[in-house]
Order: sequence, then structure tokens, then C-alpha cells
Amino acid sequence: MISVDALLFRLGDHRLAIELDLVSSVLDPEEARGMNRLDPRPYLRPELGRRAVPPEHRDPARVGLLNISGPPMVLVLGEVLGAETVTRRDLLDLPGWLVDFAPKILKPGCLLIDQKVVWILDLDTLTKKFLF
Amino acid sequence: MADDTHQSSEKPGFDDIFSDIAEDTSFAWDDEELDTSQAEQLRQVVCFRIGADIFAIPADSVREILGDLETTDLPGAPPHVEGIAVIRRQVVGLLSLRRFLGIDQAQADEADSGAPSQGGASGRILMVESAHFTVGLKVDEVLGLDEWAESLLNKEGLPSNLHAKTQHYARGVREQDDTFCVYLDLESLLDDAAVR
Repeated sequence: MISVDALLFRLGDHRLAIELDLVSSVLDPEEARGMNRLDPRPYLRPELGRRAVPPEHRDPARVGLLNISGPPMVLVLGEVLGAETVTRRDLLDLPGWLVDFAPKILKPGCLLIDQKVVWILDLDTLTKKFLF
Repeated sequence: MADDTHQSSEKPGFDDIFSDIAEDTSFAWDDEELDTSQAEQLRQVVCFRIGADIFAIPADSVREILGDLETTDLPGAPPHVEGIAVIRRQVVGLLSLRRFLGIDQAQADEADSGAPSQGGASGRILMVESAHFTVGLKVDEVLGLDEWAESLLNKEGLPSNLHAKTQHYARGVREQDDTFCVYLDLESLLDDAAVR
């Protein structure tokens, strides 16, 4: 069975996952000064007017240096929860109507790890949104 | 020696009770064989409360009724999408009818913090199925099953003091204990609430 090592992190109210291979190291924001920053938070906010981003989440606790081609780029991680090996058994489909509501920077499914829902970040889409 | 005809003695026996029941018109079992073409068609509904408002939806659309579930916010979703819950490894979206129909939040809070007869704050989730969606509807209290005559499903008879959005999805109303129970067009409501 195919398995993927995932890095789990919590950004604001949301638990997220990304392929561990895509992150070469986890840094303090200070260490990543001057590098391009990919920040998923603007795309994860509830619709305007529902709830503001809490102050404790405005400054990310950690960023991840991305292992991708091009200039050095970091991904805002927030709180790193750890790494987990996931298989298709951990993956749940989202009903189509929920996929339509979900931001495009998330894959159309989620993981269920320790009975908690973890959203899967689509780094390609986030990068394209940053570049274009 | 036992008397086979002891039922004929003055003391009543079980046969007397059965005879009594058979003669009682309130136990006229044959009533069910009345001409159904003349009887009014009935529709089974599930009634529930949100705040002080009472609603009904078709019973055959309700798959199950659940207690409070662990809910996860869906990023970017509008306020009436409460989030998702995982039920037997199936992801289900949860809708807040309170928010979607614009039911007064202050009134709902008052009901939630009120007497136990109001159902408490934890609420229930009605898992409903329509042609296109399986959705959890968050409600304050499930009041139970009821049967409505088809004649009640008449948009003409709707009271004018319903919220505008409730009015839009209402297909009938029944007066009940000095309040109104509004029958909702679930298909139409879900088509609108679950489409971006």
C-alpha cells in the first residue's frame, strides 16, 4: 500500500498536512528573513465578517524551508505538530458541494488522524497564487 | 372436575373482555378498511425547533438523528456552513439553518440559556438526504414525528409574519400550541444552502 510521510502543522484554527519531502527544514521566522514567504492564511479565513484572525496567530511560530526549485522560499507553518506516515486508509473524500466551498489551496479530501480532521495543502496551487 | 363451561358462570372471563372490546366502537379494527380514496392523504414529517421557531421536514428524508458531533471548521466556508463531521468514516457537511434562514440569534441564545424544557444548548443533528446532498442540519431540539394532511401544504395559508427567508422555503404551516410549525421545502433549501 502506498504511504506518504506528512508534516502536520496547525495554522490558526486549522490542522494542515504537507508532504514531508517538500520541507527541507523548519526554521524560526527570524532565520527566514528576506526569503519569499508562502502564507496560506489569507485563503483559509472564513468569509469576510465571520471571525478575525486571533492575535496569537498573526505571527507564525515556525516556517518551513521548501525543497522546491527556484529562489529560497518558506511556507508559513504556525505550530508544527509532528510527522505522520499516512496511507489511503487515512484519507477521506469530501462531498462535492464541500469541495466547492473549500479554498483551492486545499486538496479535495482530508486526513483523519487521531480522530482529528487534517486538511491537505496543495502547494502547487498556493505557489501559483503567490507567483501570478 | 373442571367445568368446560365455567365461562357461563356469573363471573366474567377473558372471553367477556374480548367480546366487550369487539363491541366497543373505539376498537373497530375494520375502520382501517374504510374507503381510502375518500380519506385525506397524510404525510409523515419530523418536527424540530430552532430558537423559538418550529419547523417540519419530510420524515423520509431524515436518515438518522445524532447528538452533538465533533465539528471541524471548513476553511473559507460561509457562516451557514458550520463545518464538517466524520460519521463512520464519511465526511458530512453541517448546515446551520439558524444562520441560513436568518433566525434571530439573540432569540436563539435566549432559548438556549433558558429552561430545560427548551431542549438545552447541545442540540441535535438531523442527517438528511435529498436528491443531491447528504447533509447534517443543526437544530436545537427534535420534537418528534407527526402526520400532516396534504391540504396543509398550501403556500397560500402562510402567516405574513414569517421571516422573509423562511417564507421563501415554507410550503405549509400548522398551528400548534399557540405557535406555527412551518413545513420546509427541503430540496429547494438544500439546493440553495449547499451551492456556492
